[in-house]
Amino acid sequence: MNPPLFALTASPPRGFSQRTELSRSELRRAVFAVYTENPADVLHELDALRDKITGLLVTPSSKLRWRRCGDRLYQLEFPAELQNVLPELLQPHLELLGALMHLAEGFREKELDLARAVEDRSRLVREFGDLRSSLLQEIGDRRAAEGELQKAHDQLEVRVEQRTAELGEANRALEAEIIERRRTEEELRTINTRLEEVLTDLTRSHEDLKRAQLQLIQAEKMQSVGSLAAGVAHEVKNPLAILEMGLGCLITQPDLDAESRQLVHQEMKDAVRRANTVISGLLNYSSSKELDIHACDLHSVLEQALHLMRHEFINRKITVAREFAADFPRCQIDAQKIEQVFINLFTNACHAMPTGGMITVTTEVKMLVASDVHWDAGDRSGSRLREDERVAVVKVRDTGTGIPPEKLGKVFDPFFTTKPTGLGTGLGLTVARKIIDLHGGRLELANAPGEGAIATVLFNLR
Amino acid sequence: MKKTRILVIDDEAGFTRLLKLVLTHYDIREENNPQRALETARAFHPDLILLDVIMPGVDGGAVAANLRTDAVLKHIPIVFLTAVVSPQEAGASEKNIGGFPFLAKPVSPEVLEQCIEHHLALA
Repeated sequence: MNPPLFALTASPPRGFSQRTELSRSELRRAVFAVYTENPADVLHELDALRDKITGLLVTPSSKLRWRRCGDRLYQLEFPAELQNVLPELLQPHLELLGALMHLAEGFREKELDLARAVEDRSRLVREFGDLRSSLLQEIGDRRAAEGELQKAHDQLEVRVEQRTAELGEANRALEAEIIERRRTEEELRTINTRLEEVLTDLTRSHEDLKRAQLQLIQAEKMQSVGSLAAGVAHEVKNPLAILEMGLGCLITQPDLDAESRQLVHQEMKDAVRRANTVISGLLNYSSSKELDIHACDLHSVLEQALHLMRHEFINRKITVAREFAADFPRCQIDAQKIEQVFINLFTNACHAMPTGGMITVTTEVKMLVASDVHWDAGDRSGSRLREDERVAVVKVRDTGTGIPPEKLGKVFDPFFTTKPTGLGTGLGLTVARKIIDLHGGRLELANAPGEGAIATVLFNLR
Repeated sequence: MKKTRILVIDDEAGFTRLLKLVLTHYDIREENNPQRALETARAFHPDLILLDVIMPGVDGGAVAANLRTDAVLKHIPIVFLTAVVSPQEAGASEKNIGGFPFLAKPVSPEVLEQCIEHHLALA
């Protein structure tokens, strides 16, 4: 049989409080349990309990010893001699003891459970702590994010305010601008109306000016007609004088020899023709007021004039060279009158080359420069050509005798002529210039470098 | 009898030719170039000079002045012939241009002859 054990545990069973006094019967039934946290106290309590037991068992305490057999388990060792006795003594206690041990086990289990629970709790606490800290972290983060958000929100608000302010400013500026523009529009409309009025006035005064100009030209013509009249008188009276002489001759000398009679007849015929030409020239001169203006090809007008002159050219051994510009624009001209001008220029060229020569006709388009526009101050031609105007230029150059310099200024005077009497009326260039002036152009005569003369005609390409 | 010599200075060749043809009583010298007027006058020694007024280059007035300053020629009577003045303006009798008598063209041969004789007689 096993020696009886007394188990003592540091965990008190429930309902068992530490008591220092145990009755004998209690002692016989009791299990000696001491509970304390402090193992040192256990020993003390164990010693106290041993003393009690020894007291009860009337055994010297030195014979009872505690043997530790566990963490909080102590076995009371009884000496051998007591062991035989003990069973009877302790039997009833054993059951209790067992119960107590069982209880202790239970307690121990409970203790373990508790420990486990504690551990769980600790774990939970830990987990909770972790969770908490992570939550706190998260909250911290969120708070931080919230802070950031708030900051961003605040910044946004500030910016929105700024923007709103700016937009408000811009809006006000725009409104001001709109008002300004409306006002400017109004002003422009007023100015426009006024400009239209001015334009109408200008157009009217331009018309008036043109009319006045034409009147002036007419008056000038009338004035020069005065001197013309003298010229006409002279140019017609000389033929008449010839007629008078001729008639006188035929009447007073009926038996004049045939040759002389022939001479008289010829002279009279020539005289009539001359007078007729002069009158026609004058009519031409005075009737050139109305022009029949159309867009014409100047080259074909030139060709027409050259064609009409071809027999003259052949007879006088005169060659014609053409240097016509390409893409020559159409000009606003009275083709018939301009043809007349060219014929006059070609005729003059022919007369300047009695033994033959060459006529060169050139055409070009150019912009007038300052040096081109030095017209005479006293010139009152119908339209003044200005610098930077685009003009069509026709030049007729001959290889003839040229014009004596002292006569150059007079070539356009009515009845001025360098030719022998009877050859030409002296009206050709006068009429030609008037025609060109009425076209708003320009006719000039100059000696060519080298030999011969150049007639230059400018047509305005406005 | 030696014919009276008349020098006619006029640029119209047709006129001077017919004049010579018509006035058969006179010895007529034509001069159509007024620049040569003095030269021809000196060579021809006319008894009377018929002088056109309006001529190209030199006009009759200048020629007359030159004639009058020439020692030999200044005594020769000069009659102007002008196409500018009408016979009606001139009237039946001649008037003077710058002291010189003149005749208006066109003039008939008879009137011309009369005028010539008149001034020859005066000289």
